[in-house]
Amino acid sequence: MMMQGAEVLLEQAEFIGVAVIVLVLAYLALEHKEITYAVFFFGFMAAAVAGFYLLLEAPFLVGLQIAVYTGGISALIIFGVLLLPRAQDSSLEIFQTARRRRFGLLLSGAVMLLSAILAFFYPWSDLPPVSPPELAQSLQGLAAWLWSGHGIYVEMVALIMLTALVGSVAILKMMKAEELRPLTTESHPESAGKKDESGSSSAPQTETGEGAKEAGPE
Amino acid sequence: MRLFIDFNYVFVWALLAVALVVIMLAASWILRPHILQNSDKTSTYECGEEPIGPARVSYPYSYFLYTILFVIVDVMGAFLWLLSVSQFRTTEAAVWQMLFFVLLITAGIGFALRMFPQTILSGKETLKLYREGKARRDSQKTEAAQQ
Repeated sequence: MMMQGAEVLLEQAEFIGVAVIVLVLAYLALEHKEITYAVFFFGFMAAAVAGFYLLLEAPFLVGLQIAVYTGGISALIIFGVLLLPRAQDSSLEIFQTARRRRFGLLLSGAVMLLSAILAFFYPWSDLPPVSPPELAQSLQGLAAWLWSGHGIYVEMVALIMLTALVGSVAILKMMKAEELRPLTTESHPESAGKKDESGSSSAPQTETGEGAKEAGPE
Repeated sequence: MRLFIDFNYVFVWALLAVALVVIMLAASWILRPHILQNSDKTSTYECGEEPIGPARVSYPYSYFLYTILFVIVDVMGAFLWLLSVSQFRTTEAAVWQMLFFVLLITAGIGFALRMFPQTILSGKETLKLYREGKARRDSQKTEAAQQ
């Protein structure tokens, strides 16, 4: 009984700890001036969210969250930053005016208040007693359920991946054709010559030169 | 035993990792000489040359494909990991499903790698197109001059 009480206390303490970490990291990911740091904060936040799944007894989701979000999606965003010359030096200041910022704060505050009210007034005690979910809890059961019983879901995941690959190849081919258009059409020989020298995508970098000097050594 | 209690060792390990980083950063801050910073000290080191332009260059966008490949292998690994950590008796259906799953994704990866040369902007191709366009323009010019 004593152990039970300590366990519940520990669970609540861990939930509050994880929630605080997630909120702080999410705020930093949204508000940090450097987009690269914001991506790193996003990755750490995604890893901390895995703590919630741990508290909910879902080990597979923990692994998936860390592998896909902390590993995959963060790498995707970092690559996006690397590839886009404009995004590198952007300071992520969407709230140009104080008014829009206030409106955003008000809106998010309203949403949080509403969900808090819902959580307080929801008849939690009327719910039937929850037995620990057996399927999600054991990797064995989940693997048997997913791979032998419901393999169609896994194949659907594979098909979505295939679609993403084909789509990215198509987009890249379209972008290449767009880059080559000045060479294939009969216009400005000067611009065509410039394209020839650079050989790759060269965006105008004059306006970003000032910001990059401040970035300093990496 | 609840699951999160099994993972308390991981939390302790994470705390130790954070403490290690903080201690090392603090120690280096304490030990290093605090001298005046000037523009030469804070500038990017480019083999003694004066750095010109932004330090971050934009990479060719075709590398985006590699990230997509990485995410796909990541997801495939996650699902295969689920299969590998379980010890359920593999049924025939599970084996076929796994084979089909791996086949679909490897076919996608093979397709992407096969199409990759068509997505990058190679200098040879650009030069060829530029020369063709130049020859076309020159012939048009000579025709106009003859008329």
